[in-house]
Amino acid sequence: MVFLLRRLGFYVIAFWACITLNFFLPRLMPGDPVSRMFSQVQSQMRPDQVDALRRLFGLDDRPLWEQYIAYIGKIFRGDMGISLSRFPSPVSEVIGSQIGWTLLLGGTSLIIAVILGNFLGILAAWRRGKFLDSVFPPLLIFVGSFPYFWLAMAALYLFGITLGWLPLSHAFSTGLSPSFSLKYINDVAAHLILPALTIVLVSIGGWMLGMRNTMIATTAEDYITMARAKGLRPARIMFQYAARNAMLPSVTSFGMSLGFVVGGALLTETVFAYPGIGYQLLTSVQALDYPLTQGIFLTITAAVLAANFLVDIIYVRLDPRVRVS
Amino acid sequence: METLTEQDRANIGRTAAAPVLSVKNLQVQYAAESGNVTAVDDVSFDIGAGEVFGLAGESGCGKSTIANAVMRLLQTPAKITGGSIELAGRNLLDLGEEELRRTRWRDVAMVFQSAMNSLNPVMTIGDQIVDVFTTHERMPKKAARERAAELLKLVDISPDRLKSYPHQLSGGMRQRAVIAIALALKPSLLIMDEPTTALDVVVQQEIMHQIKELQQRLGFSILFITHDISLMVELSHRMAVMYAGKLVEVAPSKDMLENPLHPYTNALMGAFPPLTGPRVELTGLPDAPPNMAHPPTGCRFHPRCPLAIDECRTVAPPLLPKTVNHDAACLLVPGYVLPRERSRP
Amino acid sequence: MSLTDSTPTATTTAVNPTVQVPEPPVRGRVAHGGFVHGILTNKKALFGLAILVVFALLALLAPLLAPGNPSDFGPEASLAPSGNHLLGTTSKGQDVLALTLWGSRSSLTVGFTVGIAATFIGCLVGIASAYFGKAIDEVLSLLTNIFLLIPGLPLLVVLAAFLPPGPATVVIVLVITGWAGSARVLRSQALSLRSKDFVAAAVVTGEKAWRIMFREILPNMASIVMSTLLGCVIYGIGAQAGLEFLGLGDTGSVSWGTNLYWANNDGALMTGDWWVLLPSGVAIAVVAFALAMINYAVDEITNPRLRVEKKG
Repeated sequence: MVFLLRRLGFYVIAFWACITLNFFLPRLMPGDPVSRMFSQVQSQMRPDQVDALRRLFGLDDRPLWEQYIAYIGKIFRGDMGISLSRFPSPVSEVIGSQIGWTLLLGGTSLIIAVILGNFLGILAAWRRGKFLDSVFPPLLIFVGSFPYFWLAMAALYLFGITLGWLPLSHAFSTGLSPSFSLKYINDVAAHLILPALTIVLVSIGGWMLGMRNTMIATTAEDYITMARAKGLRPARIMFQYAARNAMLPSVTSFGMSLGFVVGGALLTETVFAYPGIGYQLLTSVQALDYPLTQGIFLTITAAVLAANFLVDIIYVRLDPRVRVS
Repeated sequence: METLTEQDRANIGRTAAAPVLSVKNLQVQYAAESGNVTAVDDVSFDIGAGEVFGLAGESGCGKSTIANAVMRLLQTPAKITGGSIELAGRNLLDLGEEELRRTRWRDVAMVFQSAMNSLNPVMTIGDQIVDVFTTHERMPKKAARERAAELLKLVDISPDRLKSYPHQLSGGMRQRAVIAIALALKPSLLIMDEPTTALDVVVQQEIMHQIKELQQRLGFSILFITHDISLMVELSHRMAVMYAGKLVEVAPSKDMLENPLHPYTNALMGAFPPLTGPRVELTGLPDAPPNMAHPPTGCRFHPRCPLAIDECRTVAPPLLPKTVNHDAACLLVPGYVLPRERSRP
Repeated sequence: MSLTDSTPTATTTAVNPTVQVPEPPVRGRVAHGGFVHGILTNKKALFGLAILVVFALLALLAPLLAPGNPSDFGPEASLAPSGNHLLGTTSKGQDVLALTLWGSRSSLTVGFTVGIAATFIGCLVGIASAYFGKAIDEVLSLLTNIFLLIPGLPLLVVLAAFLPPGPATVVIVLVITGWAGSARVLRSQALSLRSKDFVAAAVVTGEKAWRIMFREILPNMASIVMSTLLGCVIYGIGAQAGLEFLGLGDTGSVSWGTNLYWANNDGALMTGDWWVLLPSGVAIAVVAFALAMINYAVDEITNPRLRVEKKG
């Protein structure tokens, strides 16, 4: 419990740091980005909305600390301002309508990459120097060397444009409205394949190599020797003794790598015009929609921190040594 | 000291008749970039039913390699390159993977050096005993758990420790748990590789006492490996001294203690204070053990031997009986005659 | 518990028969000869180094190989690769080969600058954290972990959105988001060195803190600094490309990332001009792969357990 509370405290501090960063960025940046934004949108807003926006970005006469406290208060009430590009929707509403797609894409590809990558790593380490161990690591490092967005474009060109097997963009076909029909679900799945495949391809190598290397270190442990001496079946030694222990560092790095997955999803969403918050983040930057940009950034960070806390809880379940002390 | 009881002597008598373990001309090599290093060279010994056989020597002399060879646990770069290891009449080196797996733990079990590291940190003690039963005896989980509880009682650990994880036990308790796991299938031979090295002296004595008691009660044989001569003399009926990959002396423990023949055995005895009796000045060994990649010519002990003569540099003396049950490999042992084909001008 | 412990003549050297050489004197140094030799005899490392040298030469010789401004529009638009234009032309008539060659200059410069700067900050923070310990360690570790957790690319996007565009912004933003990983790795390595005797000896003799940190601790973790540096360069090249592909970098410059940005913007995918997209992407991948191979080799040399055993 102490462990989890300490972690929770850390995440709160991290989130606070992000809010602070968000608060100060527009206020301290040279070149006055806020005025740039205003010149674009001022005409279509009511005076009180302009006023709220000015305050959000620090064009405000109150002292800095007062602004800061007011800002934090607003964030915790879920008030991140009004989106300019999707005027007059509040930022939270825009994010809420799109975060599901990112969760779908990121979640699907993450789960596939983690399970498949770790499994390949276990097998490669267990059969050192055999086919899987000698061919896959360099191959996956090579595939992983390509930028996400480039692989996404290559997949799009090959399977979407040239072969025409899969849809080119968006999360579902135009004209189809969201429902629980088989047709709709199939359509969503078809739109998901290419972007998810891209993310899996780029990230799987890291999982495999990481697992392989910890597995190799683990198989040198005395308890593996003892398990072999006990005459246990190889599969049991491999999973229950070696992989079960080698998994622990992998779980820790899982939390860390969530940020990378989010980044990958962002780039992939951009290429496929997939309507998640990654794609929205870029659109908001291009439209100088700073409230939305900041809101998305905070939401992504909060999601990553929450996911990390979840991973910590799982870690405590997996490692009895942390559980007790 | 109660090193040898009457029963023990009877056991020794049985040694020749039906050995539990018979190692013959065992050779183990490590493949290194600079060439092969012979870690165990032409080692032969028998262990009788119910006998405790000690193997002593400095670290790196090859004694743990022998233990791992008997379990067939050696992994690249180590390889058994010659000889035979017969367990109850079967040569372990002929066994296939699956046969070997079935033999391990059922016929020969092993207690490893460090109990902390030989238990899986993420499994409960109970599960680590249970999987022996479920694997080897296809026992249902519930029955296996009951057996596991009995085993823990055997080594004086409360059965509610079944649910504990290794890090929740003290060092001594952990090692006792490992011993309990080792005894699960009532093997005829138990290999103990420095079972008490990582423990403090008091706990060490407790464990030794327990091992002795269990051995007398259950009658299994032990291959006991340590660099601590005083511990060894306490437990084993017969012992062998190993130096640089070769056995240099084999004798009943009492004889070895009272009348060591090899200068190295002498030095070993001198390096440890006797447990009882008057204080004597300790005499140790000069210099470091030899580099096994380039072992000395002739008798491997000659560079450190205080008694070495010129011949020791060129002649490698084999292990020969001096009296019944007492073998030594040294040119200076009175009455030591080299077999003709081995002598060189 | 060694047998020779009781003799006054033999001391620590008797423990392990294979270690004949006594412990290095108080100020231990890593044998650099062995490391360099390892790199030069490792196939993966040589392969990676060769690729890097080729790319560096191409970048240096770009003005000779493809004279003129590569961004200038030409009359021959959207040509497939041919004798005149080895890699074809863009829809604006620019020569793709020239763009790729010139692009390597910006990509490699930014990549290595970011890598070196991020590793430098990582060293500074990591070693200071390990050396001073206590409160300083707490604060620096907290900072490092926060930066590690905040998702990098979104932060990159937000920073780039607010900062005035330009090459300096790209470097600064990439360093800000890239240093934390190396700081964490280097801290744990420095922490283990901190407890070594030669550091304790230096502290006792009253050497200055910065001297101990950079003259005693740093040289002993050369290989791990090396592998963090390689990782940071890979990060720098990839993240720059990502940022520029999103149009958030310096769109006026020529780099592999901007090449891909313009290609995508001009609809190269839809018109089927695959040759415009191929070279810059492959270039990024090959350089990153080369760096990863060197990194892999460094790992193998310093961690013998990972070496593939010879069967036999």
